[in-house]
Amino acid sequence: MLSYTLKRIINAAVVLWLVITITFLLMHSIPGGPFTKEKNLPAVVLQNIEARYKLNDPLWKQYTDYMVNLSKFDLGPSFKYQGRTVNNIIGESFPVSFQLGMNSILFSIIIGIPAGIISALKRNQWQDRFVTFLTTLGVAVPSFVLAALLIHVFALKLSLLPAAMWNGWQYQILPSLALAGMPTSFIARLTRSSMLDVLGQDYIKTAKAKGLASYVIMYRHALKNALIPVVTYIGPMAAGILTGSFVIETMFAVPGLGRHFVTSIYNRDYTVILGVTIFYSFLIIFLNMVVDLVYPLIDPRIKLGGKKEG
Amino acid sequence: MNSIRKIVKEVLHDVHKPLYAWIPYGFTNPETKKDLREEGGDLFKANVEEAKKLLAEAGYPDGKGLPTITLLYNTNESHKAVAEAVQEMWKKNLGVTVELLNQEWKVFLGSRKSGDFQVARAGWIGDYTDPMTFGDYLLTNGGNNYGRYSNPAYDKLIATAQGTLDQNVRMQAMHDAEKIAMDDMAVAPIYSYSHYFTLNPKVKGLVNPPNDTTNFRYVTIED
Repeated sequence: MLSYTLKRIINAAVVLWLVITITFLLMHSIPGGPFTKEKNLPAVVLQNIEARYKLNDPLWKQYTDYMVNLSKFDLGPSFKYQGRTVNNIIGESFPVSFQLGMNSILFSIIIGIPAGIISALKRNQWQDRFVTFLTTLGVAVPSFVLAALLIHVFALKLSLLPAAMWNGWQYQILPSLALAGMPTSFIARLTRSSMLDVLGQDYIKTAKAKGLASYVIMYRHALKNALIPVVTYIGPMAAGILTGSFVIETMFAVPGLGRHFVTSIYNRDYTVILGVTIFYSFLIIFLNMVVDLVYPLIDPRIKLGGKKEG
Repeated sequence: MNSIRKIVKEVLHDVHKPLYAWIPYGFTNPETKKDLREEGGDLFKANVEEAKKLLAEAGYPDGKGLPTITLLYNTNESHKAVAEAVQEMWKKNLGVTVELLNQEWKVFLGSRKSGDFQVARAGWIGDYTDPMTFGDYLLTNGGNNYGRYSNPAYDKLIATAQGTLDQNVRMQAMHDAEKIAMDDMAVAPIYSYSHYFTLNPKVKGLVNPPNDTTNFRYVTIED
């Protein structure tokens, strides 16, 4: 277990390094820079600005400087937002996205898994059809349509909840729901199909034959095994949702991290592009690792360390 | 209906104003207190026959023999719709084949700056609310003059306007300069931007100059 974790950490470091290097090279290869503006700057002024941000150093020097600063957890200054560092942009906006994302993840787990179980147990009955209908809709309808619908109904028609901004718990409800639509549906569908798969296994028949109570069969024998694919999905999904959604944050005017993924590229805000990419990659790698470490707790047949028995 | 009105009406749904000149609506002549654009009026007319004649004189009757022209715009739904309308009109009216090319904003800025285009879209919002913000744009070697327009007569009139405090002389020079630029067709104007917003009647003192640099400093809210 320990040596496995260690190996994974070393792997993760290599992957992260590759992500940083590739992102660094790609972003410097696209035309236009952070100070390319519609209005022309005199060449001398542009030169001074570029010198101030060390953009006229050779690329390899910019790269090594960046890596040295990164090793001190310093992601550098933003080029677009003067006087702000990438650390404080992430520090300010990530907690907002995290709060929003946690609401959505909890909602999708609390609603999605039971919905999937009910659907599997009542296969082809009205409950299953109802859940299937809703989840098909949930997977197919993009979040911005759901968001617009929620705003229209709950904010404009019923005046129950605010349409946008981020000033308290009531502001969190609509964006959390809009963001949760797709993962909830996906988790429900995944739970359903994997439950059905497990319920057809021989050991479930054995358990039934032994005369075990049906809730024991469901919980101890079926659900635990059925949840493996769901847990696999939740890891990377959590990383995606916690780092914010550009669409949802834009529609609800939520000051989260999501918009920086898109706007930093438009702005060629090099340090922000790298900063949010590193942050997101780190979360994905970390959560995937957590998921892998959680497997043996759910299913004792899974052993970490890679030695397979023949 | 001529082509500019058609674009503004059918493509832009009359959100913006058709423009037949270089300086847009919104600047006030300090002497006459009138809108400079209304004072100057339209400075060119849409004229397909004349265009066809000129094209034939240049050796391309009905567009025959003219290589495909590439129209560059930055990626945006509205710019795309206008570009498509221009493409269709040039084909239909003049027989000229136009190819559309869109680029992401900063890539587009680079292409335009380095002159790497045949026809490119452009928009300009004044830095300040005096027509000079448009006047000095078309000066020879002007920093934003991407079409590289140059006419000594134009430069001279702008220098006159820049060198006097007499508003009558300034405004007249600006009008005259604009006429030259439009006779030369330094740019092909289509529309003058309009910006709409809703304002609660309780909000007083909002300053919103024509170049849309909204100032909230003097805002009060009445009960």
